[in-house]
Amino acid sequence: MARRPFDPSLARGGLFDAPGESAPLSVSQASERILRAVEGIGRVRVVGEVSNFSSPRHWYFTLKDDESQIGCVMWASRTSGVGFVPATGMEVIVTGTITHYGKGGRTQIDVQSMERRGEGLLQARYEALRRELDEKGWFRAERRRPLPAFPRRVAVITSFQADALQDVLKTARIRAPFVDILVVGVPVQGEAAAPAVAQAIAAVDRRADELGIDAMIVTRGGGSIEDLWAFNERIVAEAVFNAKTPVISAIGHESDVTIIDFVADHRASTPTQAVMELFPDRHAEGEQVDSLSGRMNRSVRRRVEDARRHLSMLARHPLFRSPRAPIDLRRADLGRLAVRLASGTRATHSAARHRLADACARFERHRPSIRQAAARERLHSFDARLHAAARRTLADLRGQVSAADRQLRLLGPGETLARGWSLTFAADGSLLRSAADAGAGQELRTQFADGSVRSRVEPSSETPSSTLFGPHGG
Amino acid sequence: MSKQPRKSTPKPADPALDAEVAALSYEEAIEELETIIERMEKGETALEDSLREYARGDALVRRCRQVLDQAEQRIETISGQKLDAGASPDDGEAPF
Repeated sequence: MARRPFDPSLARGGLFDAPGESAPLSVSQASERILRAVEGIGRVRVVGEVSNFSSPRHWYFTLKDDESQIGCVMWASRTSGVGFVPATGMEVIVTGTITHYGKGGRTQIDVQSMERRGEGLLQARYEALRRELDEKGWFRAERRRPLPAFPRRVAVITSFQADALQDVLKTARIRAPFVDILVVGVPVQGEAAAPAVAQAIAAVDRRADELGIDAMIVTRGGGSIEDLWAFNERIVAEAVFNAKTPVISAIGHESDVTIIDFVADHRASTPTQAVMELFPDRHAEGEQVDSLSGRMNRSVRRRVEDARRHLSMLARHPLFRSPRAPIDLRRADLGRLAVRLASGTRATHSAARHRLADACARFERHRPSIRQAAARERLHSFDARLHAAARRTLADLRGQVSAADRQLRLLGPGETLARGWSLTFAADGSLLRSAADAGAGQELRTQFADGSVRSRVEPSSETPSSTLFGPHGG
Repeated sequence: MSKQPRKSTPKPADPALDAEVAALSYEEAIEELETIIERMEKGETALEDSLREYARGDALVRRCRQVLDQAEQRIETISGQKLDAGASPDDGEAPF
């Protein structure tokens, strides 16, 4: 925009020549008119690149784009509100009024406020995307996947050159050297960063099973909002949202919250923190294993001791002290029964005999012959009753005997026979209970403990002994 | 009670058992260990089962300790692009 030499012919009818006005304006007058004209433009917002920045106290600089430039001044009273110091090459947006400085012959912007270009724009984009995704429910806590308690392998998506990567590796080495790491290198700032990060997240997720990856950390160190911008891009948020593998984000410093932090399953404030939260601590794990091992040892020891105690308790039971104990118990019962049987029989017979003697005595007392017949009658009846009573008693006794016999059979007669008893059977195998049952010439079998003998009954005139169950001599 | 050990901490080191347990991840091993202990503590298992489970639990403990004692961390690297293209991480990149 080189200034052309003044040419009055061109000036005629020009901007500042009022038609029909012949008197020329002074420079100051012209300048004054320019000032009035530009002030009429009013307040403007202008975006451009800073150049020729100087700041003795007030800021002087030029704002330019590819084709034009315009001078700017910002008084010291206003610069303190800016929050940054412009530098050559920086894109800024200034707000102010256009003015004309007559002494310098410059038309310039009197800057009232300044912001970095993109800052407001980015902020607005950030807010818009955050609101949109929030409304879609992408930030809801319940859709966050839990982090694995003990990841086998973790992918770290970051720049190979990043300090963040060194922080991650250092912490992981100390905390959990048993967790494998796959570093996935991506640019983390600049135009290429967002698509590359999104691609890497999707690739890790797609190949997670194949590569044995249980979680991923997406990280980079601190920087300006532009530096971190990739992590505010929709494409990255979508990759995280679509991933099935849990994602931990650790972008910038504690105060930097990017969109990925909202979508990620877990947000860590720093790369180191991400490792602390994802990687199990070897010492804590070791303690847990020790504790489980101790519990198991105590438990099995208790189990074995219980079994041992139970065993020795069983061994102390009387049944196990002698294998013959139950038989001995039964034998004692049987002996008592036999004694009762014998004494019972004797008592019955002696009572009967006593009553017979009594009857005889009374019979003697009633000797008179007229009563003889009646007395004889009564005697007969006594006799019949006596026999009936004896039979009844015998029948009862026989019942007891056969009960005892059954019990005897249950236990086996061996022991009893060994004590000298014997059993005598008729030819038909029935047990002989009375001498009267042994008819002359009958063949008998007598069972002893150690065997049996056969014999034949000799004819005899002897009456059967009434003391069948007297002390048995053999 | 045929092979009841005299000591309550038998050292079986059954190689077949160890090999079986070595295939488990740390988490799987811990989880199974906890299940075994809970069963044991309830005292519902027969003595012989307890001893058999103890042998397995012992192998699981050794497996877990072996994992935790691993000193060398395996670190591999790959660029995001190559990963996406299906390359394996051992492509010889050494950017550190």
